[in-house]
Amino acid sequence: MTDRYALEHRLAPHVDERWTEALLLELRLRGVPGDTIGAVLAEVDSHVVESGEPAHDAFGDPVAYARSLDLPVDDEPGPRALLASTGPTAVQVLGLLVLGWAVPPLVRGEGLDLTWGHAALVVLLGAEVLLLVRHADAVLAAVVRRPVVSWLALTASTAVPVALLLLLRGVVVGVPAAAGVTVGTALLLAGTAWGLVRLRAHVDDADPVRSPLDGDEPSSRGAEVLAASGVWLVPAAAVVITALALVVG
Amino acid sequence: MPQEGTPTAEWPGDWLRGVLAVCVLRVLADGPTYGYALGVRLAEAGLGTVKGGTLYPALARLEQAGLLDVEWRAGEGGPGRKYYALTDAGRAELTRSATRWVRFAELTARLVADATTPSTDPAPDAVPLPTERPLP
Repeated sequence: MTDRYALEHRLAPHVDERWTEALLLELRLRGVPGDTIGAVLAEVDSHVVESGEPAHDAFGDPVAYARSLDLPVDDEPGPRALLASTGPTAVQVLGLLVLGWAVPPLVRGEGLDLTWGHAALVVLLGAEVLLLVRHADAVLAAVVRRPVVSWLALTASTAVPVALLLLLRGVVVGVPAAAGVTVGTALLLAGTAWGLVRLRAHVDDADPVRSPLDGDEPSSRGAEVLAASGVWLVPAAAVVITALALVVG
Repeated sequence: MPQEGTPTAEWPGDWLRGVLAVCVLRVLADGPTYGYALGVRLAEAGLGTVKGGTLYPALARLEQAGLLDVEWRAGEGGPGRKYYALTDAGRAELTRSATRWVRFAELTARLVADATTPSTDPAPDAVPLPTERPLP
């Protein structure tokens, strides 16, 4: 059973966890660096212990407190950096999609018909990814503050591309299924390679929220394995799906 | 909450916000200390209780302005503490602000001197909660 407040308990063990969670979220949304967030939480914890006052009495509303600190934020990452961070997975997913379209016809000995629906799906998904990447904080804040609207938007963003795929059956061009399989595999490999390169370059070492008292802790093996496995998720799924299609088809 | 009959030591928030920076700088001139202890010093000086929600943002501003250095030290059997210390720029700012503040206070006191009531309170630093009246 995972502890929803694991981070809060670790960084501010003496503070009301919901107060800490609200403070943590607000600081995150503002783009305050992880180290700084850890320092803020540690200082609140220290004050709460020494004064005996609960956080809400001493510091007031956590969101207002976060704002009053007016901490410097990380520089806005450039569009290239933002795109690069989601790039590997997006390419892998595209490869997976193409394989999903191409393998069944290949198994049946048919050609692959690319429809307007296919094109629409790729374009729409690409647009959604770009939106998320450029406005991650705003999207996150919207989800927290307007959960119902966000849920509706998420549903629509998934349903519309799928609906278009099913409805727009006009064929744009027919290609040999083998070509589709080749393209799909190539995309999958390219995306995986890109992800591995970024992993080795430690570009995406996520911004961990750390207490300033931790000193130089080596990141846990578990976290490293998790990060590495992220790159292999989509290829693993592709292998499974393709194998199933070959066996069942 | 204070009970009936005990004097409350509440200064108007506006006043406290105005002097907080220079008072913090002055306390730190005696040596590095951490937030809670700083608040205790200010209370002992008669300024009343400065809430964490007011004190720490003020410390953060001074730190960002380069007037304070920070150092984390392990607490005594408790959570670690963030110690603040004056930088050279902080020392210079303290001298400048303190001088100006004392002058400002003198001018203000002189202006309103004849409007005061004699104080019978044995602890002259503690004042009753003033009724809020807008200044003319």
